Amino acid sequence: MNFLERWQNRRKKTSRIIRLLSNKAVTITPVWHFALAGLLMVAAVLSVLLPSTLGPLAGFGLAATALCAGLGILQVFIAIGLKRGSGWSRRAALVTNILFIAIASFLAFQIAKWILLFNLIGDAFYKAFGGLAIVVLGIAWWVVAVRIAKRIHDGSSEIEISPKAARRLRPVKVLKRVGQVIVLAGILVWVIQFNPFTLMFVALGALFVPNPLAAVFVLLAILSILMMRALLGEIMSRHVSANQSEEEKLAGWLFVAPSLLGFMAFLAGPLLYSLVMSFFDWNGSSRMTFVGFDNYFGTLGLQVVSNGDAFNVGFTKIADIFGLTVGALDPLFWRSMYNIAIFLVTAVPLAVVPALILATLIELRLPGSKVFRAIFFIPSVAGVIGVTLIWKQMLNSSVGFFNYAIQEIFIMLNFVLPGDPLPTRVEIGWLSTEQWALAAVVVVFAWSQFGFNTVLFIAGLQSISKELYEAAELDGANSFQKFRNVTLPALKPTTFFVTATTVILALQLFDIVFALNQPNVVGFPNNATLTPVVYLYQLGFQQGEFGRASAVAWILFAVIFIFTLIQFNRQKKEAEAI
Amino acid sequence: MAKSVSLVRNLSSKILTYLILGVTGILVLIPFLLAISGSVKTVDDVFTYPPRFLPYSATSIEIDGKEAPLFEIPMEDGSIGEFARVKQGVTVRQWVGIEDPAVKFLAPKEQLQDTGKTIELDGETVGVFSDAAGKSFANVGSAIVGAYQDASDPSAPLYYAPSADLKPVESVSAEIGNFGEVLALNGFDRSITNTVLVTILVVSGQLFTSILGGYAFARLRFKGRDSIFLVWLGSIMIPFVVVIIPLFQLMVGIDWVNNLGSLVLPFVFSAYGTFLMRQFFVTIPKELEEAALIDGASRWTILWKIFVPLSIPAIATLTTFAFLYAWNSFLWPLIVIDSGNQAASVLAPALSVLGGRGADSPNLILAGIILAIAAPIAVFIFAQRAFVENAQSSGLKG
Repeated sequence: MNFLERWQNRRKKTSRIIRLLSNKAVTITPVWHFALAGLLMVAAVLSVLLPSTLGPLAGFGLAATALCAGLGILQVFIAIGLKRGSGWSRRAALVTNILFIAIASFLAFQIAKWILLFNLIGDAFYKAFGGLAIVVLGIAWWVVAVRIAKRIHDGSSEIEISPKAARRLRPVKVLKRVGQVIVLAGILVWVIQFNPFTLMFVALGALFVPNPLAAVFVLLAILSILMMRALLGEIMSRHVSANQSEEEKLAGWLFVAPSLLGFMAFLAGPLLYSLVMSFFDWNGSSRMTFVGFDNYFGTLGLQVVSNGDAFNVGFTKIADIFGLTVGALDPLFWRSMYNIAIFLVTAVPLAVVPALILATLIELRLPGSKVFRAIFFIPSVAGVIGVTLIWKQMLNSSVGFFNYAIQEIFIMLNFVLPGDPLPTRVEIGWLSTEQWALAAVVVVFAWSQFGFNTVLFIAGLQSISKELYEAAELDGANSFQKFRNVTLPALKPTTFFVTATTVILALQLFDIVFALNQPNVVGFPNNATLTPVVYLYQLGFQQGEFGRASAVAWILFAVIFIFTLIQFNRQKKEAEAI
Repeated sequence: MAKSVSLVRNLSSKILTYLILGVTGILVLIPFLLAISGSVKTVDDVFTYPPRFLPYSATSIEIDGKEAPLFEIPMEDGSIGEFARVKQGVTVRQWVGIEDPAVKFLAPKEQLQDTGKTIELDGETVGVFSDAAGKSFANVGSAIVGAYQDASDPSAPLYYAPSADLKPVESVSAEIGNFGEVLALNGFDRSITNTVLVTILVVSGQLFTSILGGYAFARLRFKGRDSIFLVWLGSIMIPFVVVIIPLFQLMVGIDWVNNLGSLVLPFVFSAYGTFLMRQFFVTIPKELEEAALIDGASRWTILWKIFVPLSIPAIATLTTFAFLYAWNSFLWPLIVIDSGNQAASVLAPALSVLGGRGADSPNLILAGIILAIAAPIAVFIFAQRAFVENAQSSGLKG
């Protein structure tokens, strides 16, 4: 019996088990849910008698007991319902099983400390990188060979290939084969170096030592999966002839389940928690104390007095406007808002307007213009930290190319311009002086962002109907008039979209500032480049003010949300107009 | 006449277009080219002023089996000769011509003949020596200098001068060793392999969950589907910064910090990816699916055997998006991974640490940057269309 047959036989065997289970589902699944109820009751009793056995759950005290007991009673009802064959109980049983699988796997994962496997895999991956490199090389080789073969084929089908082409194809076939051999050899080397069997052994061992409870949870999860499949099989067999709606519904929930669980655990949950945290005074270790809106007031608080008057306690002067003096409870927050406002009005136009012009030029479709589109796009794929650090070298005040270029331009201008000569030695401290630091950030942001926007504008331009241009040409419009009177109005939605996304991106400015200015003294020099996210980072992760930081996060979220809403409304209106 | 005017105008507008595109293209490329050249420069070369575009390094020749660096030395006839430094730390005397006080040179004592006479110079008594030609010189002091041999004429007498006064002979050459050096620095190589691993896991995870979810939202009718989808769409608008603090708390609570897993597991779910896949799956004709259903295929089989092969463009788009996201992510690893933890470090924060190491070795920083950005740029060159479509799809549908 060869391997394939054996494998197929095994598959048949497993499907037989499933079939058996679904036939017996009516009798087995209620037993399972009774068992679950028993487990939950035991957990409830344990949480009262021996709270420490529950680990992190013990922290919830009575709530955990009540939850376990409540769920246990629910399981009893589900089990009874399943016995009677009621529809709601089947659905509830499915949801229970999905949740149970997730919870049991998570508990097993945590108890066995499987998270540590990731670093072990990282270790093995590092040691086996040579093998991977060979595989990549082989794939590249193979791809090139395939492309060459395609070029020789040149559209003709495999069968009616000319003898001449066939002769030319022969060496290419050898090339392809060599590529495959390289890939296979690479995989072999990789498997030997990576040694997945040791990793598997470690993973399995962690289930039993030091705490065999992990293995118990894995077993329970597997049981739950089997029960779920039994239930599914039973439901399917009931509905297979009538309609598929029931099956479809179940499949729908099952398919959404992984994303939904991840969404709850890593987005919705934290989002809610962050909102709650913003109403507490908490530094991570001390007890959380409820402070109401104090975090928000403390961040946003402003007081305006006429010149010479004193502020209330806690306020610091931040600005003079029209003979009035403005004070703030949190001058740093307002400094960050001021910075980001300046940043928005300078960087966004610089990232949008050139993109519009360049997109129009590229869409003239002169030969080679696609190359430019690709070149402009490079900064947005290269990664913010990388390109920012390149700029950091260029912006060096004494040996950087940026100052040198300015200086050379000045020297040239001195020949042309009358009056006082421009300085011939430029040493602007782009990174260290308060006056220029934000300008450097603007330059880097605009430079790395405009290419992406250009591509967006090109997409917008391609959707403008050609007839508009033809009509304009009939009326004798020149290219500039066409641009003004046809392109710009038709491109309004795209322009709006591009501006809005750039604004939303700019509001979250962090990486450039962090990489450009000295690490951990971010906001240096003299907070000239302090942005809201940098401030949030400082508050939360350097000073441990989690409550305050959450409040700042929600204020920023509100600001971003306003822009999102404006854009959303706009798009909706357009959709309605069409 | 009118035709030729329009032809000229046409041509000039074409030239102007190319000019604008070309200049912008150069402005985009210059930083990258500078980074490439800077990454193969020597430390001395990075700090020379005025900055030079190409990497230079000092040249040397081999004399008696030893590397001897070459220096430029101005000759008497005004030309510039190339001399190799054969010895350093040689003690020599300073000599001044007695007949002609303008002649000054450095040479060891043995090279001249002691006449035994002395002379009064600036109030000091110094010895008088004579050279082979019979000219006499006063010994006015001593110095520790380097000895230089004429590269074109090894038999000529050695030349002595302090090294600091001489300009090294330089030629364009690449210091490839920088890459090896930066790889060995603070586990930078480990950061690269970790980043590759995290990227592979995040991309495949996102593809898996997005394909499943997208199919359900596109094709399977179940109660609450549309409202869940609306919440899904809304969550795309939530900026990540809002959840980083509680997410970090969560990671601390379940003890996932300082682990590569914390860079992978929270990010294998993507609202944007689910949305993208759903939008694509909706366009696939229903008949295909119904035929397969009648043949008894399960939803799972239909999804992977029919929908996925038809959705390669959307999958490619999502792959580029997830790849860039995972490869370049910075803020989250900065928070959950200690900067000293090499086992779990990834590229973007490692680069930032490297960049903050100080200004003593910008060439190494640039070499690190080149290694970090090479992969995404290479992938971009290979799969340009997927990238551009990714950008455009985010524009038209987002």
